[in-house]
Amino acid sequence: MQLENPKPQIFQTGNFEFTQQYIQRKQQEYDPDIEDPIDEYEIFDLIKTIKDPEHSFTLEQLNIVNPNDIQIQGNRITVYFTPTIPHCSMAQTIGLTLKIKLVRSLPQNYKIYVQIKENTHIKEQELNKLFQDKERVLAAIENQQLLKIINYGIQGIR
Amino acid sequence: MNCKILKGHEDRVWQVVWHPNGQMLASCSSDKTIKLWRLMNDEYKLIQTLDDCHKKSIRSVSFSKDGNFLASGGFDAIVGVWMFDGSVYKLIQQLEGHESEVKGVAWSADGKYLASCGRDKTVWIWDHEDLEFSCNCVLQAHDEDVKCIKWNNNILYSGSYDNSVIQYIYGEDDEWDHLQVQVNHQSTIWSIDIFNKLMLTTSADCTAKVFAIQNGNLKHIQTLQGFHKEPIYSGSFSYDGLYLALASADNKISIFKKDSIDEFGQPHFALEQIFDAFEFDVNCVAFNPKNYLLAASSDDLNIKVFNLQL
Repeated sequence: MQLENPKPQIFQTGNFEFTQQYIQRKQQEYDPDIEDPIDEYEIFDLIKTIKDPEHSFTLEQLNIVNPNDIQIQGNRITVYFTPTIPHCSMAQTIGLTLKIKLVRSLPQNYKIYVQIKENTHIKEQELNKLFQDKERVLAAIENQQLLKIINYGIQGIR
Repeated sequence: MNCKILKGHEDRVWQVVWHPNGQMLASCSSDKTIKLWRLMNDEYKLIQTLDDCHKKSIRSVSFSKDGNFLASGGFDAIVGVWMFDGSVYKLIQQLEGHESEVKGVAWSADGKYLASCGRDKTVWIWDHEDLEFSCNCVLQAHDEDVKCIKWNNNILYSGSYDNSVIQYIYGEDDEWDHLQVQVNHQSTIWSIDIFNKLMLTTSADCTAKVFAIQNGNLKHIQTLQGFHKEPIYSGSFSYDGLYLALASADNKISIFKKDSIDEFGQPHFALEQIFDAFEFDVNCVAFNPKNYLLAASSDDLNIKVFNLQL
């Protein structure tokens, strides 16, 4: 099979671990007096190992997801992802995989939004609408073929 | 608030509908079953579970006007038809034709037609003779998934992922003619309800709109916006048209009351109350056809019937 993006750029992972914000959060983690709400690093931890459908790299390695593109407002979580190329036909699979992984991992009262980062894909609006449509996302989980691909992505690379 | 909780489904409950006599409820769920609940002495008793038709989530159920038939639509692309034999509902036919998920089913008021719609962008109209259902017509007027359908006498309306509503009329040329009616929603139309000459549409754009149906066209009366922060999956008029209810993915239900009538004789609705109804998304609301009982269903597996004491 012809690869759409045969030589994707690979990024150094874990850079965020050197930020002041992350270091402080890490230190707080062991303090029983400080409440640790679900934050962007925790969300990132859940999605960074997801495998790209096309390459043997993780979404973190391809810089498709990063902690700066995760927003949390109360129980509303928005993950913006950046496809490697603007016409990437895998964007739909990546978006669905992100959404389903988060739905499975987080408490059910969280509202999860997966969006393509602005101006990074030609079908941005079309796909964003699809990821928001509960019926379509749930129907995808009941499609055995698609579920297999999604589960393979979620299984990830560790 | 006075509320009864109906527990039994093992997965999200997509829709709940009242039997026309107002004494029974049918609910359908991702657990692949339909459950029938009878109202007896102010309690709801599970009287039947229909689990022999669908292999995937059941998205929609509908009672025929006389209550003798029940139809269901599922993600397995099947439309199920059930008949009441005097004590229970029995599966009489599985209608095949849709290419993918069926998202809505609805009986016409005279019971002559059954309509179904789905992700394959089509609306199917089925008719029957001697209890044998067959396809009357396949209508493809939308560009995207058809999310919901609603009959108004023998005129059919469908709402879609393409943000539009289309009206179908059986014309003198023995064909179903279709016409797009202007609703100006910015996103998917999740539900349509009709009371007399009023139409209520709810959308993923977090608004609901009320229209007057005039000479086959829609006249915008009111946009209900700013009340819900998430898509509004369902809307329902009360039996007398005095109230309407909305159900949203923000876990809330809102109730509006007709508070005035304008110079053209059109009603205006004002918020009566809005409340946290469930822990998760509210997928459906349905007013009882005889009183102000409001049934609702949710992703939290429960069905609730609110006695609104309006």
